[in-house]
Order: sequence, then structure tokens, then C-alpha cells
Amino acid sequence: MTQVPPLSAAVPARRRSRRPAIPWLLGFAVVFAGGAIFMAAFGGYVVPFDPTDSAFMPSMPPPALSEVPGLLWSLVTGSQTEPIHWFGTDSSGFDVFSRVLCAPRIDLSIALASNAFALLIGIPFGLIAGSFRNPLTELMMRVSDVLQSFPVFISAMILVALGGQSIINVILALSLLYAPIYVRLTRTEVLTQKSKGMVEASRAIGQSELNIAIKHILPNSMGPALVQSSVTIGFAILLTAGLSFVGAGVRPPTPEWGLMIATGANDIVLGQWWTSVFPGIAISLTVFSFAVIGDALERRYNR
Amino acid sequence: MALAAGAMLGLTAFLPAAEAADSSLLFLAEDVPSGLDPDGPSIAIPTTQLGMVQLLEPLIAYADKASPNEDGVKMPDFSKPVGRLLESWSYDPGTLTWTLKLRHGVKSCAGNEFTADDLLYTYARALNVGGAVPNAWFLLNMASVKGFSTDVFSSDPEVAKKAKTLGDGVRKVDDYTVEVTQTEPNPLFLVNIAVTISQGVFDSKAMKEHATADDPWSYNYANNVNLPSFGPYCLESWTKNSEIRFKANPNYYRGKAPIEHVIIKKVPQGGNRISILRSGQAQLIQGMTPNQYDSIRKMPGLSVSGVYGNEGLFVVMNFKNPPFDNIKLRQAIAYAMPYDRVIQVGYGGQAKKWESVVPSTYPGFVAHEPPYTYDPEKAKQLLAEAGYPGGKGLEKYADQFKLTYVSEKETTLGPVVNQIRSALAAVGLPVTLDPIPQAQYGDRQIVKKDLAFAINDQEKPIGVDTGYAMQLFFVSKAAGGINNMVNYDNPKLDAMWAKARVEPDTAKRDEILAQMQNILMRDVVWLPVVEFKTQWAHSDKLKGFTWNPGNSLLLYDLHY
Repeated sequence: MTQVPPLSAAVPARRRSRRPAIPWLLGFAVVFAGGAIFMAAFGGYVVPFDPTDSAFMPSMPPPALSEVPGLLWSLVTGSQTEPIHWFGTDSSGFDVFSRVLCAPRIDLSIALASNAFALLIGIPFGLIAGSFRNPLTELMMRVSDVLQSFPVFISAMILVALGGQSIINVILALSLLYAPIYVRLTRTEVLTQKSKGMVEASRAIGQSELNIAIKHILPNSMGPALVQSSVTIGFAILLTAGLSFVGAGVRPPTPEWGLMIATGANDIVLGQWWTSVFPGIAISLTVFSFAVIGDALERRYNR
Repeated sequence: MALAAGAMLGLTAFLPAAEAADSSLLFLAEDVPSGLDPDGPSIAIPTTQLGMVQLLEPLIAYADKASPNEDGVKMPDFSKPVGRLLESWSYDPGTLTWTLKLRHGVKSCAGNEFTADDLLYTYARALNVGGAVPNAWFLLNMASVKGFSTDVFSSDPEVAKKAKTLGDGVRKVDDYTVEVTQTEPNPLFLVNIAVTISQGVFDSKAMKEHATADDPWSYNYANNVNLPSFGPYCLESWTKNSEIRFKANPNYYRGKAPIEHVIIKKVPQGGNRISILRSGQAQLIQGMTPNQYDSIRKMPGLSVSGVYGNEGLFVVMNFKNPPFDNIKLRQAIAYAMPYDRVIQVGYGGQAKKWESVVPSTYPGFVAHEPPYTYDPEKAKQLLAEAGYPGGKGLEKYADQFKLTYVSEKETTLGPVVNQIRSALAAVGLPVTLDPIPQAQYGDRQIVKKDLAFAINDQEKPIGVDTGYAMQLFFVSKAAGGINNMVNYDNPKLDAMWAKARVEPDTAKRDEILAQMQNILMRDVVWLPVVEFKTQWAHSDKLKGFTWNPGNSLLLYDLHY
């Protein structure tokens, strides 16, 4: 039996508690997330089929794995002139492969935009709440707590239902729901920064509180929020997909992962797995990639 | 799958093993009845009607055709009405009076004997129009029964009160004879009294026992507790939003139902219904997509029974919403419609092109000549003639071109609307999709009538008559068109209907109705796309499927 060596007292406690970094995993995550962002920008130009134009072949399964090398070779040699439905087609005859690749345009756009808005709301409010302690900022924090106390998914559904089903409203709803996270994170960091010597020194030389907050505290307080944002982007992708899955998100026939899963879910029992499984894998890997990147950023920030 | 497993576990708990016998049936549907009163607020919901028709007994029905269709489903012969609660009937054209001879020895679930008092109570209740929807009144008004006038809705309380009193239009001659007089020679009377969900007869004694001072016609009781009638099944228990249980009526005059106990259970997800059917716990399911029915057909031990009855899919284009007031544009859309693709992709081949605005199975149906076919070039030409060459000029109507459909039917209608959107976009029509909830769709279609551009696969005339469809859907509001969802207003058509409705000569009446169909198709008042099969998936041991115009399966016909 191998004896576990005792932890060295020389290892700092903070580093002992941290998981080891996995460079290849981070590499994969960066490449995958980068690919998703690329597809969000250019997916519509590189996919083999128009993602909203129906082929006359509904519910066609993807080629068997054993056929894939031959099909690839035929594409290379030019003997296959027609594009191939690599992931099959759905019940409307849409090419699943093209839709999976085009979906980041919606999912990532919503996630990035909502996160950006949430940051824009959350960081200034967090800075104000941390810098100026008065009844108004206390009220601000309680409102923020109330917003956070509701289940995010239910709140998002209600907000989209009230505002109307559109991409803009989904973005606004997610921004509103994620902003309190950034308010609290920023406020906590501001309170920490306020006790540092540089702030005391700035006060001593006569700088105003507002000037100190903007020039000295804010730049040093944004780190946790920015680290959190990569995780929030992943959650926003999941939430967008979830809203579409229950019919409260984007409208058909927009290529969107959650909507694709919802459309195909009923037919899984008939063995038509491909319409749901491929977008499901895409969501999982994208969210995972952003989580890994977030983890790496956090590691770097805490170094 | 987790949901399916959960649902199965739930069913295992509620369905004792002993019930999986030949005397029981577990029927899984999208929903269970929300109410049971024919004049109740949920009357238009198919699953509500499914519950009602098991309990209510009509005055007449139709004999079965000699041979079933290719799926083994028995079909009604609309030329052969047969008595149910009526033993016989006769008509005197001189006095415009129907003499109805009631069947003897009919008993309700409560054991009360059917007499003329029950029929008079049913008619008096219809005339009271105290329910959420004056459904029973409407069909009698449409049939020109004396006394069933619009005065019942008068804002003058005295006029309304007087109009709500059953006068000499409906008279009891003796316990088993009732006379009904019409104001004009209208053949719709016989058609309309076959509509079970509107003209089924109440057990008046049971109803009166549950009347209150606030609710003398027992609307609350009938809608929320029980619907006492003389039908083949009695209500055993009912948990709204979950399940409804029926027990065969031991007193039923046509003999007790072969299947003693029936449970209709709500399982909203189609995939879960299939899983439970495949497991053998359920014997019958409905409300699947054509793709799913197609797959079930190949599964061992299961069958799909279907029929081209009266269900069709059509496009709504509202005359009040420009540019849909432009007939050329409407015709352009008719020629841009990808009929074959809708049939193949949307319905897996279980549909056929619809050539008129009434079901092709109905007497009086006339196919439009020449038919609208998928012809993009002709569509573009008509679009140009309409003033929108290549679709130019339609950008400002982008909101009107939102193709609205019921979001809950995404799995069924999604493939259809996607085909339509692609085909119409190809000729320059700026179509986008607009799925909205069923409740909102129903309100906008029936109450507000403001759906500009929509897909509809749920409206159908359940009265088996072309004139019934004209009165219901196409004549103007002023002429009594209660469900004229496209706001079509053609005085010529109204005049033709006014003539046809009182035309005693069937051949002449059919001729007028044929001309009316041609006008409606010329103006593309509805754009009929396909007629699709009404289908049920079931254990292959379950037999006896019989279609009726109400489209609700009559459980009495089923057996193992």
C-alpha cells in the first residue's frame, strides 16, 4: 500500500486547497469557446445548408459512424458533390449540423450581451454601495437581495412573459437577474480595497471620495466580477436554452440549442435521438468551456 | 425519459394490476375535460368534448357504412340517420312541424326514465342561455326552431325574459311525443340534433336535484361535478387536470358497454404517452404527431387507426388587415402554397390536398375548378398583378405576415409552418412565424377576430352539412356568421345563404351551396391546404373504432 505523504508545512494553505491546473483542458476550452464565438460571427457563412430552409427529407438519421470516413474521402476527392447531413435532419427537414453550428449566434449573443449589461449595471452599483454606506445604498442592497432570492429560471420566465417573447427581452431579463451577482461581488471587493493603505494615502493628500472610488478602488475591485463573468456566460447559455425549451425564449425556426432540444425531445422515444443529442452536446461543451476558462481566470486572479 | 419513467411509476401506483383486464381501458390524452357542460366555457376544447360524448346521448346519429375504411374504422353514412333517443320522427311541411317519437325504456345513470320532460328541460335550458357559451341555443337558432331568436340577448330585460320562455315552438304531446315547429323550412334541424355535444339530452330529474336558487339550471353542477344524461357511460370520478373515470351505464338501452371501466388520464408529453402505451399499461392514446403515428405503426403489438373525417388545415387571411384585402394577393398565396411538401413533411403522407372549404366527406362538397396548385411562377405573376412585384412593397406589412399558430402544437405544426414559410418566402412574401398560446389564439380567433395571418387545424363543421359550415364560418356577422374569423363580408354570399337555408328542394339547395363554395374559393376566404387523418394509436387487441363527426372517440364502440 502506498503511503500518502504528509502535506508539507512549506506549502501555503491557499495553494494546498486548490486543484492542479490541467493545461490541455484549458487549451481545449479556449479552442472550443473560441470556435463557438467564431461560429456566432461567421456560422451562417460556413455551414453547408441554410439553417432555416427545409430539405425535403424530414427526420433523416445521420450517417453511420462506419460510413463517415468514406463520406469524408468522397468529399476530399470531389466524388460527393451534394452536401451531407452530418447530424441528420429534424422533423421539419432542417439540417441539424447547420443549425447546431449557427445556434451560437443566438445563444452566445444573448449570453455575452446579457452578461455585458449585467456588468454595466452591477459594477457601478456595487462601487456605490461599497463606497458610500447610507440608507439609500442599504436599500439598494436589499433590492438586490430580493432579486437574487427568486429562482432565476422562474424569474426569467416571468420577465420574458411580461415583456414579450423576443431576443431583446431575453437579454434584458437575464441582465436584470445577473446584475445583483456583480453588485455584491463588487461591493465586497470595494469594502476590502477601502481598508488598504493606498486609499488612506489618497485621502491624506486630499482626494475626494468620488475620485478615490473611481480612480483607485474601481480598477482594483473589478477582478472578481470579471472572473465571475465567464461562469455567468455559461449559465446564461443554459438559461437561454432552458427558456427556449419551455417555449419562453426565442421563436422557431431560429436555430437555437434549447429550441432544437425541445423540438426533438418528443421523438427521442421513437429512436430519433439526433435532433436533441447534438445540440445537447454543444450546450454542454460550451458551458463547460466557459467554466474551465473561468476557473483559470480565477486561479490567475488569486495567484 | 425520466419523465416517462416517472409517469409510468405514477400510473402503476394508480392502476391496480387486476384492472389490466379486458373489462378496462386506460386511455392517455393530452388533457382531461376541463368542464362537462355543453354550454360551459371549455366546450370548444376537444378533450372536454371527449368526456361529454361518453355521458350524453343524442336524439339521432348516423348508421355505419357497410364496410369500414382501409384502417378498419367504421364510417357513418350521412344519408342514413338513425334514432337514438328518438324511435322515429316525421315532418309536416305544411305546418313546418317535426313530430318526435321518443324511445321507451331508456334509463339514465341515476335510473330515471327518459320522457318528454327531459327533452323539454333540455330545450328550455338552451333557451335560457345562462351558460358561458350559448352553444345549444345556437344550433337550434340555426335550425330555425320557433322561439329560439336573438331576442334572448336583448338589452331590454323584459324582452329577454319573455324570449327565454319556451313557447309553443316546442310542445309536449304526451310523455313520449314532442312537437317542434320551425319558423321556416330549414333542413338543418335534422342535421343539428345529431350533434351530441350540443343537443345531447339531460336527465332533468338529476339536474333539478342539483339546482340552486342562484343556479336554477345547474350550470355549476353540470360543468364541475357531473353531467347527468342517458349515455353509455356514467361518471365514476373526475379530478380536473389529472384523470376522469367512467363506468359503463348498467341501464343503457343499447346494452351495456363491452368495456366496463375506462380511465382517461392526462399525460401531456406525447413521448411519454408512447412509452406508456408501449409498456402495455395503457391501451389507447391520442394527440400524437403524424411522425409519431407513423413510427407506432411499425411497433409490435400496436396499431394506428385513422380516418379522413372532417379535420383539415387551412390558412386564415383576415380581410380587415391589408394587404389581405387584395384578392390577387390571396390567390398568389394559394399558388405559392407547397401542398405536397406539407403532406409529405408535415403529415408523413397521412393527408391529402383539400379542394374546398368544407370537408370532402360531407354531402354537398364541391371541389374547386381549376384547383389551386403549387405554381410559384403563377404566384409571382399574381403578386405582380396585386401590385407587389417580387414582393416589393410588402415590407411595410411585415407585422401582418407573422404566421400565427398555436405554440402548444409546435411538434405537429412546426414542420408544416416551416414548409409554408420557406415556400412563401421564395416568391417574395416576408413571412415570419408567430407561435402563441392556445388560449390567446382562441380569444383572437373567436372573440377579437384579429388574427391577420394564421394557420388553423382545429375548426371544423361538426354539423354534417355544407350549409352549416356556411352559416358558421362564412356569412357576414350581420347575417349571423358567428365564427367568421376572417371578417369576410360579401352581401352576395349572404343573399345566397338566405335563399339556400329555406330552400326545400335538396338539388336546388345543393346547387346554391356549390356556387357559394366556388365564390369562397375564388376569393380564397379560407385557404384550404390539406385534409388530414384523425388518428388513434392503440393496442392491436383493441377493436371497434368508429369515427363520428364530433371527432371524439365513442368508447362504447370499443371492445377487445
